[in-house]
Amino acid sequence: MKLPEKWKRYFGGLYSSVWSVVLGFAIGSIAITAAGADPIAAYAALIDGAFGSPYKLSETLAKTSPFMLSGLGFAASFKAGFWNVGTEGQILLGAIFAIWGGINFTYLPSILHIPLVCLLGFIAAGVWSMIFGVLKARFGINEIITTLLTNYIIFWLAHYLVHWPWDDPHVHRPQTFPIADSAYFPILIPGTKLHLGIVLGVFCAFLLYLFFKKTVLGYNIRSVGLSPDAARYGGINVVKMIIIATFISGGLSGLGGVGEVSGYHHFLEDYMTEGYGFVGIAAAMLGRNNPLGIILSSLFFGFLWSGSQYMVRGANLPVGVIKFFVGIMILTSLTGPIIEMLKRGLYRVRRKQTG
Amino acid sequence: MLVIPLLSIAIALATPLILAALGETLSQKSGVLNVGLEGYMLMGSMGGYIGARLTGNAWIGVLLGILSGLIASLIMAYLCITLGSDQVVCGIGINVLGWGFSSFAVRVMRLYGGVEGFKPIDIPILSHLPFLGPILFQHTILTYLTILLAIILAIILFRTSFGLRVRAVGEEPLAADTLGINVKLIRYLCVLLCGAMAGFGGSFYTLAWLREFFEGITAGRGFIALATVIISGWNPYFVTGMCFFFAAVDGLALRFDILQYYGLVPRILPYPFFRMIPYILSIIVLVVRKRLTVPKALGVPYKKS
Amino acid sequence: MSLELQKRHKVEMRNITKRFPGVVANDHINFEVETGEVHGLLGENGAGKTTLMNILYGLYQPDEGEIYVRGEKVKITSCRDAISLGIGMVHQLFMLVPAFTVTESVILGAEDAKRGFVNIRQAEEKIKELSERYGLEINPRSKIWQLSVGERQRVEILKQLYRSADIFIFDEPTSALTPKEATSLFSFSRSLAREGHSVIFITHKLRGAMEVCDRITVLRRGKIIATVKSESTNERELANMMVRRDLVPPIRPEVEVKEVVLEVKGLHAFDEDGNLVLNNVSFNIRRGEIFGIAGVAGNGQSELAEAITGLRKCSGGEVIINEKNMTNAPPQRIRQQKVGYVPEERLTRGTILDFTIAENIILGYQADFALRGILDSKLIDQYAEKVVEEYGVKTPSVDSTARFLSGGNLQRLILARELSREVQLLISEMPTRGLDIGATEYVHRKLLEAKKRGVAILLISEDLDEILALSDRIGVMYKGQIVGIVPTSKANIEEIGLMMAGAKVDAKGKQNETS
Repeated sequence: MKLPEKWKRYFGGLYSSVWSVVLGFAIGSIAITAAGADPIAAYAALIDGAFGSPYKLSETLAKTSPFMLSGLGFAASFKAGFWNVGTEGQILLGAIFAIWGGINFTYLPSILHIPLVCLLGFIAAGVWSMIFGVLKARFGINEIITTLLTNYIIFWLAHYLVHWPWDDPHVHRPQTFPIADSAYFPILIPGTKLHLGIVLGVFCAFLLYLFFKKTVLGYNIRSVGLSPDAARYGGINVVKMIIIATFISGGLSGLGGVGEVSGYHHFLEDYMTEGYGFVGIAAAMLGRNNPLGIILSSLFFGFLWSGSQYMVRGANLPVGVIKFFVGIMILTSLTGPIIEMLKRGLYRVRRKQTG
Repeated sequence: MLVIPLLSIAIALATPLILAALGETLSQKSGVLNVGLEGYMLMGSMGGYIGARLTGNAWIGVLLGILSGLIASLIMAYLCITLGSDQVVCGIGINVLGWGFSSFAVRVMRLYGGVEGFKPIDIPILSHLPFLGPILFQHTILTYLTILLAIILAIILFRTSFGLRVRAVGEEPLAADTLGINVKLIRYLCVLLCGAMAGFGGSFYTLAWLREFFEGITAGRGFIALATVIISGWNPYFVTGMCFFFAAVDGLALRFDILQYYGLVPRILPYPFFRMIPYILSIIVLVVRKRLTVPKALGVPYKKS
Repeated sequence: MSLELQKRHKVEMRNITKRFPGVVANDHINFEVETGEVHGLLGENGAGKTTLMNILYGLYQPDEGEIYVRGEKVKITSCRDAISLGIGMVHQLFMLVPAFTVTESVILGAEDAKRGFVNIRQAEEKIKELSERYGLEINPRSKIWQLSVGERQRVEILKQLYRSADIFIFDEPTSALTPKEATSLFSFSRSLAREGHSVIFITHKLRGAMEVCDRITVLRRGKIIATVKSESTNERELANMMVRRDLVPPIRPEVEVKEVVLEVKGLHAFDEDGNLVLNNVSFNIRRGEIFGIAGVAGNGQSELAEAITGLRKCSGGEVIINEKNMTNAPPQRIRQQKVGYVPEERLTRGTILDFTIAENIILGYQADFALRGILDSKLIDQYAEKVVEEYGVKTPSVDSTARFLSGGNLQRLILARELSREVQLLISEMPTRGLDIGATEYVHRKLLEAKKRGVAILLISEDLDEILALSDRIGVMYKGQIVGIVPTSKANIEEIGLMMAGAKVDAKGKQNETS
């Protein structure tokens, strides 16, 4: 077979991905049945909810955008060997700065205001993430714990801003002032929710892909992630590379948060982005930390999350089913090795038969 | 006097934290990182609520809570120990799953309202002591059980052969393997114990504290427990102490308005910033205590060649 | 076979075959060990010796064949089974937990706990008794990370003694020991044999095998070549059996040695724990000269290489390369001085296994292949292909991952990378460790070619034969110091051995106090 090596690797992964999805739906259907609903109807509602109309499709893509950007963010620092599980907080921080930039600077025209909020969100989240990159690179402090804790620090910061200084008195719920119109992301297809965020996401994915494949900096970062010792010997400044990678990482997640504010909600409220960062991590791992793979995997989660909102209405299931479903999918994506075991088992059986 | 109710609340709130944190300590000592601790606790809360609501018996609730945590940790153990999957992603998955499933199950079963749960016990004589009485001796039985468990765990870890093997497995699994120790089995036991204890801890919120259930009832306490394990250097005694401290902060947060009224907390410091303290403190401790004795094999799946 | 003869065989492995993807590690091997004998298992790296013993110890399962212990057929499916049969293995890489004490390490898995509780004091007593009986000095309360290599080996041995092992397997036990420590290990093995136990000695060192073993079995490429009595054979014959031809020592070309390329003056360095790892090290190397550093691993050699290549900070002294002061300069600047480095850790420092061959070839020089920060992949592939062919690195393409290369091939890759950049100074650390004879000869050839071209070479090796064969001058390191520098022509093995163990030798060749 003259198939190039790379193809074999991709298609090998396809088996386990398909298996994971099927397994996830199977387990989900058991729970749905136990809840007294019809799984077929529920899944029909799911699919219809995700793709059924241009509006619903736009909702799916809008949901995909923060997943994609935070997934790319996670992948960017993962390449440097840094596990950035603070994506939740970084998304929120991006959102916070989008609000700040959107409420002030209202005198700016769109063409300046939009890039401004993007820049603010990117840099704020990037710098925040970079702090923990420094802590790891220079002081060896475990980043999984530190970044995980930062999610809650930002959560309470957002809570404060939403309930106190930025609380919009005209609205009964705790919610910030809306951002100025000039900071709204353009809607790509009128009448839908499809905003610039998804374009940003795909664009960043390609950029990140080329960055790691073709540039010296990308090469250096990758070597640090694979073997810091060999990288040092190769004359690469390991600390510097980790810092750069974590900055880009946080920044990308921050952009995801900016998208939620500027593109979708236009204000900030409690729990608005809850869970997005974690799903981004799952999307990154499912996409093997390859930017192109992440485009696909985040689309999958976007479809799941957006569609399952209609499953709640359509099949009369409680709201918890959304996170439940997404959680199941995250876990089944890890069951790939079962396929390997089955394959090996089949191989052994076949060998015994042929003697 | 404010101090008495504050300290009493601190001890009560420390109960679930200690349970989860000690379970996590055991698990991490054996080399498995459970990021999904929050998920275990949520499942435990759910189990406790369902059990008590359906049967009217709080102890059934505790049992169901333990079982729920156990099942969640079983999933984690299978995926990470047997299949060798990544522990962090698995933990995240368990968290998201726990979030969703706990509220899903409770609503599907159409359970609403409160449960009787456990009432604080009045320990004869001791609870009437002037200062220590209300602080130490008027808690629910769960709290006392927890203290017992804590002591038992410390003994197990440091004095028994099981504890020795757990520590070996967490540092050099290959060395343990060549000596005939079943690495996977030990890790399974530790993870399952962790799930059971965290589930037990989770049931505290629904059975002895709030006595009802709503989505996300544990409010990030699982992450605090995780943090205490690491900043305490995996030492069960320090872990327990850290949990008391964070529970005290938690308790202070509840009486926050009173504290501000009495001028004990500056008016300028709003409530959310106070809630941030445990997380910021944990990070600071991590920065200061640079040389931690991490179990060497923590987070790395063990694969036999 | 008579019953009596059968009983003499403590261990018998019949027709053992073990296959791995692409290679037959053990090919229908028949191997037996008698009671009270020290039996050597000799062969090159990759001959199958460790695989065979891993099967005996339960770490691997054979595809075919049977094992008999004390005349009875047994199935060893795990280390537990092996241990219960009285088989104990002291591995090449020590299986110890750095944070544990000696006592904890020895009793792990055999704790003899009453109702789960461990009695540390009782264990300590037993360990003290065993260590006295067999002359293995050790403090049961010390922590493993505090111990030297020789002491750690004693702990490994005590582990087996504590479990009343009857059959001892030593895997390459002398590779990290001083000559004196090796001798005490040999006498320990002999006393075990005298007590009626059986000892299996896996090694690739001819001299050691001859010295301690009663019989020697030679393996080559997974097959048994012969089993001989050590008293009726010699080193040349054994070497012949190992590789099917005589070992030809490399011929060192006479090269006119010119100006000084590297000068090291009074180098001092500490490690992260504050221990002094380099203590007033001074020497120089000239163009066309090979300067060998001999010494048991762990006496500062790695730290010296790191200091010269900029990977370790020096607290005092100077490193001067081509008359420029390069002390504590960043590695990239030192590399620009035409300094090449072949590190000891091939897998973790010398290459990045998950990179492609091409990516590995440019490691350290990636900026040379880039324009404005963007890599020129065509240029890289061209260069990689040229270099790969020139140095004979066996690989289907330069785009395959380095992970699949064999040890010898990986070393070719590293040499190729460093030597094709026209270096003037080459630091090479343990360049032939773990390589078979063919690969070793290749590395030696390339080093001598470089010497002829005028490259100054710092050769660090624990293989004294290699140092003697290749170096012009030899420096011996002990505990971070250079205890003596001798020209090879005047070198005396005994003297060097003493220096390796710490004795300073004065001009008259008389031994001074051990430092």
